[in-house]
Amino acid sequence: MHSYKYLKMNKSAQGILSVLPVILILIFLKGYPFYTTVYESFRNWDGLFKNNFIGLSNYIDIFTNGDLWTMLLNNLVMLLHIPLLIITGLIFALLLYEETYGWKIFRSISYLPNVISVVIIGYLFRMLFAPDGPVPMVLSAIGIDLEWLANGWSGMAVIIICIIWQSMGWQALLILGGLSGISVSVFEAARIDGAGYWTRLFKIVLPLIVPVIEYSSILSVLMVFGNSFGYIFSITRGGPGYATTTLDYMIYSKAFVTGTQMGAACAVGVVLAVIIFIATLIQMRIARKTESGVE
Amino acid sequence: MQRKMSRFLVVLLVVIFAVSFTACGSGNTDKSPDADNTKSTTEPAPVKDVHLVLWTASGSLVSGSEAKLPQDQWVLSKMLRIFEERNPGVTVEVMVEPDQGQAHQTFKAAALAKNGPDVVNLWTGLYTTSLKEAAYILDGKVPQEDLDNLIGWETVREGFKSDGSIIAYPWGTTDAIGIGYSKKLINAAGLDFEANPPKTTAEFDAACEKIKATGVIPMVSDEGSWPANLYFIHNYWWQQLSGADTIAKENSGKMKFVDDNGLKDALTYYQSLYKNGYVNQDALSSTNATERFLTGEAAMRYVGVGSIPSLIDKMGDDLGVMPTPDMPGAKITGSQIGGVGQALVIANYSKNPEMAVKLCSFLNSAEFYKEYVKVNPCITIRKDFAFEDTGMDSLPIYKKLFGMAQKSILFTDNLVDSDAMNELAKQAPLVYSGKLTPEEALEAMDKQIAAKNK
Repeated sequence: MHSYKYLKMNKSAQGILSVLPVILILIFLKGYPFYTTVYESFRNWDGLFKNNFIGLSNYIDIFTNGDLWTMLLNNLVMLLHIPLLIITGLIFALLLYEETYGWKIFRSISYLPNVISVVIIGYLFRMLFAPDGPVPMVLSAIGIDLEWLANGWSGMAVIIICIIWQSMGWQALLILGGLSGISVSVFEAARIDGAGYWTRLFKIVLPLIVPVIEYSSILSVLMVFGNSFGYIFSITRGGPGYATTTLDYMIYSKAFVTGTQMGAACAVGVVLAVIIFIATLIQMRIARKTESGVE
Repeated sequence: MQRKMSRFLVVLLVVIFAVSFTACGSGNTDKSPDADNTKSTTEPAPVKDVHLVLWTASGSLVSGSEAKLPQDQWVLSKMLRIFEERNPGVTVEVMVEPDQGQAHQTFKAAALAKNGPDVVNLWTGLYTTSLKEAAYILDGKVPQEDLDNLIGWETVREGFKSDGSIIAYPWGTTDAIGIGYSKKLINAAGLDFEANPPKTTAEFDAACEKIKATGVIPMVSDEGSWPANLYFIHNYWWQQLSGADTIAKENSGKMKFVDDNGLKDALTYYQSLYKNGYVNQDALSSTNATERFLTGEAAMRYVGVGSIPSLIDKMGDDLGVMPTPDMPGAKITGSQIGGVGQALVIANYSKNPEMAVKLCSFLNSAEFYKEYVKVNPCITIRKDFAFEDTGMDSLPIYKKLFGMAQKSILFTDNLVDSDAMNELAKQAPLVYSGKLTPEEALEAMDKQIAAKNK
């Protein structure tokens, strides 16, 4: 008969062996590129055969030439979309939750932008805000003349509007999921105690959906730092100048536009990875404190 | 019943495959009408299973209009079949890269992995010569006939020197990027560019002022379309003031861009065009320069030989073209940006470099150009190909461009370090809209060179 200890070890071994193939694949697919990126970040690889060790030279350049701070600022400005996205998502989620007229159709339609390619949506917004596009034409009729894509701040505004437009449906469904998890009895008890709609919203609903908001915020932060390339490429190409260039776009610019600064691009990639890691840690700590406060 | 059905399906599949193999093996009978006249009388010894891969870009070996057709209808495809017939055992596979700029990066990756094309169509100048380590050096490999009959060899030689290593074959066409204009709108301003085009920037300013007074935009530009982007004019002024030698020193870091007065003057004048309202004020972000030129909203637009067919279609005889006006103190005058912009690079990992050289030679042959020019009006780089041979001589504008092209200087971006050029391309729109000074833009270019030279 097998002892309890043997059975326990056998189960652990089974678990480890079950996930081992996936872990090995992940190590290969994620670990090897990451290792190569770090390795090349200390070299002056030109994309071809020039590849010499240059120590911390790439990192010193990044932190001293001023570009990093410009790009980091652009990333931080892009984070402004998060509260706006949460508010719009919350409004839509509440409308869906209250099952307003046409909610079933609207639930499907609101998610459609999320399944369309980022590049297509980016080009659509580029056309909408082009000098001869419908948005400037309408605004011009009411006295607002602005070349949206020719200025840094307005170019960034277009990108933020585009991100919010595309992600609204996803945000709404996420919050709706959180709302559905709140027991109906909680609302009934609140009603019995005389709590009105707005009191229920701010005192019950919002505190209880904090985990959902935390989760979507983390994903949105990760998107801004690591996945905003598609929007920038299709709308502004990082311009005018570097006014809408973010860190991940800069990696593309150094690595693939001219293709001669692969080493420098890898260094920017490592810096970006560290920033994302720190930002995620801070966010999770804040969320944990907020959750314990709620409890 | 089921067994009978299975047997029937198996027989049917075998028949379908047999018919398909027969169809594939029947060969291509679509020949160029002139091919029989120029067929070699001595049959080469058949080689065994030589497969060449050729990467090209839409707008180059395959013209933009052809790219919309099925591949077997391209001139390139038809001519490659002739090449294959003349070289039994050789097959050539064509892949079209949608973005030729990106093709340079794709080829680099392929060169590292040694699994890319045998021949790749890239841009001349530093775009190609910087890939020397991945290229099959052609010194002593190019037939003398090609060295004698083709122009543009300096654009593919190391250091642009006449005795520099030959990194690639020049290909195709030489260009002249001039200022296209509507004769009607120019005449309405009391000017006649046909008889008396502005030759200096001062004359150009005066002309723009008169055109502006008629309520029309003097020059239209946009942020991306080639070559309407003002970037090309500015680059000519830079090269005519500073010269290619200065640019070479700047590339190597021996001289700084910020100390290049020619470049500063070119950028400053470029800025003045925008400030004085001689260029559309939304040039930074608009994308419709061609439409505005065609609808008469603007009097002038930068054009190349390749732009002419679509403009002629709509404008007919109203379309005129002239060289770029000269900056004061220019070392080079009466010219414009252009020259031989396309190259064929043979990869150094190619298993059949000699056959690849033969292919490049064929793609530059008079026979090839004669067919190519029927669907893509262009100015060939062959010295033995007269303008009358191109079939474009019926239109005066092409004759004018043909003459202009003989004096073109090479596209400046082909001479400048790619990172510095990319930086200038990013900063130039900010300079001419006044958001950045020329010095700030040039310092940014110097930073790029410094970063590369560590």
